[in-house]
Amino acid sequence: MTTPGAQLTRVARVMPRPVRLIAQFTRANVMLTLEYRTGFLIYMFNTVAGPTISLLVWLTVEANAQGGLPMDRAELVTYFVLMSAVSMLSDTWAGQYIADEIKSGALSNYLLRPASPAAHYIGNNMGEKVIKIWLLLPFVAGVALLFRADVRLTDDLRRWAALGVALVLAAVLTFELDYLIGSLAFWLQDVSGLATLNSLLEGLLAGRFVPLAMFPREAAPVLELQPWRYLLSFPLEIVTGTLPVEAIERGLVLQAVYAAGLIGAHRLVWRYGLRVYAAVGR
Amino acid sequence: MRYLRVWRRFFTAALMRELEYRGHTALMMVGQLAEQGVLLVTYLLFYRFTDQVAGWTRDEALLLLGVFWIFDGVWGGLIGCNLRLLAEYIQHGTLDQFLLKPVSSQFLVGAMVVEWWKLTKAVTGVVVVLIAAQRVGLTWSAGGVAAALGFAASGLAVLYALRFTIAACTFWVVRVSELYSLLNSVQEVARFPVQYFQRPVRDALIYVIPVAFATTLPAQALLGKADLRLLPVGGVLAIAALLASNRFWHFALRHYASARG
Repeated sequence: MTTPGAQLTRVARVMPRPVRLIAQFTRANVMLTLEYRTGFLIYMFNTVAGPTISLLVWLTVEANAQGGLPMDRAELVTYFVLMSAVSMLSDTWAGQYIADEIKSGALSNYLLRPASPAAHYIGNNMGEKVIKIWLLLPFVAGVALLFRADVRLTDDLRRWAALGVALVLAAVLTFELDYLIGSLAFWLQDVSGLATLNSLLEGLLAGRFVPLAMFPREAAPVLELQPWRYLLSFPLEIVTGTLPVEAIERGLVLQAVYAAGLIGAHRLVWRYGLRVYAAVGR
Repeated sequence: MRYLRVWRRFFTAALMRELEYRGHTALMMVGQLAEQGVLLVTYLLFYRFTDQVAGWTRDEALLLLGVFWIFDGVWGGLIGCNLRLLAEYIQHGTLDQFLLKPVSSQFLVGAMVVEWWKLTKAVTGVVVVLIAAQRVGLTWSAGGVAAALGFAASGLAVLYALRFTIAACTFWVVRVSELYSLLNSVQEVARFPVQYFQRPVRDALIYVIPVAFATTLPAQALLGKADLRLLPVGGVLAIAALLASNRFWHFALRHYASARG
């Protein structure tokens, strides 16, 4: 009879090496996150607060517009109630750390390890999220309970499956975009301006402050194609049921193309970036 | 007068420092302008579908947005940047340098840093207020401006006292930054008129964490729509909050043991 631990070890042996390393980093970061659980609990409250404030404002606008909005009350409520969960699951924070480590020379520590620096940051991202989701869910459930009469979730299993894929791709896209901006520190003294610009564009074009459906109809073709939509708005559009099946399929393909493009750009930037990297050492 | 002179020195020193890093200052100002642009677009999108939201027309809401930017610019450039550093002073033991100076330590830790580039947000706010006032057809009155300034000063004072007190909890709790950031979300609500929110949220924004005094009531005072009975309430709240924060600061200082090596 084999123990679960032994079974896990056997499973771990057959996993590819990068996956094993990421799993190891994830485990370490789960423990680290647990150490700061109170702080993360407050962060999660803040994660829910923003979308809830937007929801309250949009509900007032909806009441005054008397049905003139492109989204009905149920769609608005579902969109903003789920936003914090989707936002947290696709969130990233690696870019600024990478930039700091390149500038300070601390990147050398990662380069000496038998694992890519990206594996460390992916593990950190996933490890924190494993804990954050449990801290966030009670807040999301609380807001959903307050607006229970208007929360309308789709019962189509294919949409939930599509949401799962879209969430993974959204997380990859967000991470890669942030990582790419941080990696530009190989050449730029300060990448915070680019990070701020990305954050502003994300706020406006990902549907964080305003659902993209609220923009003028003439802007729709551009808004549908631009990459920031696929970081947040697209997964939410799938689950609120506002998107037809063909549009979901098209969206998933485009999201995958953006993700592949960013991964390629990231690899290219690191290949050339490491050639110009000169660390003072610590 | 002595405190004003000291503050003027901080202003000058900060300006000289920012002029040393002109490129960085310009970049931060551009980023700030872009951020303001995003908020402006959000507001304009609200009014695509209706002429008024909770009794506020588009131009009146624009006036409030201008007031918010004045408040946020003053907060970020003069107050927030100082309170953010308080925990660091206490944890690193560098608070000693403030305690040894012959002026109030609460004044020093709350006023020494000035971030000029953030103050430019207030300038944009003034421009937006003037444009919106013209579009609304506002008749400027000394009483209205005085009431607006009174409300804004009391709102700023209460929020300063509240957040200063939370920041001062670092004397006992190592990580108060999370709690401090919690109020950031609440303070951000000030960019909307409190009438946009239903009760009990609206009442909480007037009486519990009175962000309404910082933006909604000053804007209403300019528009001649404010309930002026709230002006003395704001005054009393501000004085009580400032006194309480001062008492708390002195109580907290008794628990300070310099950690400087």
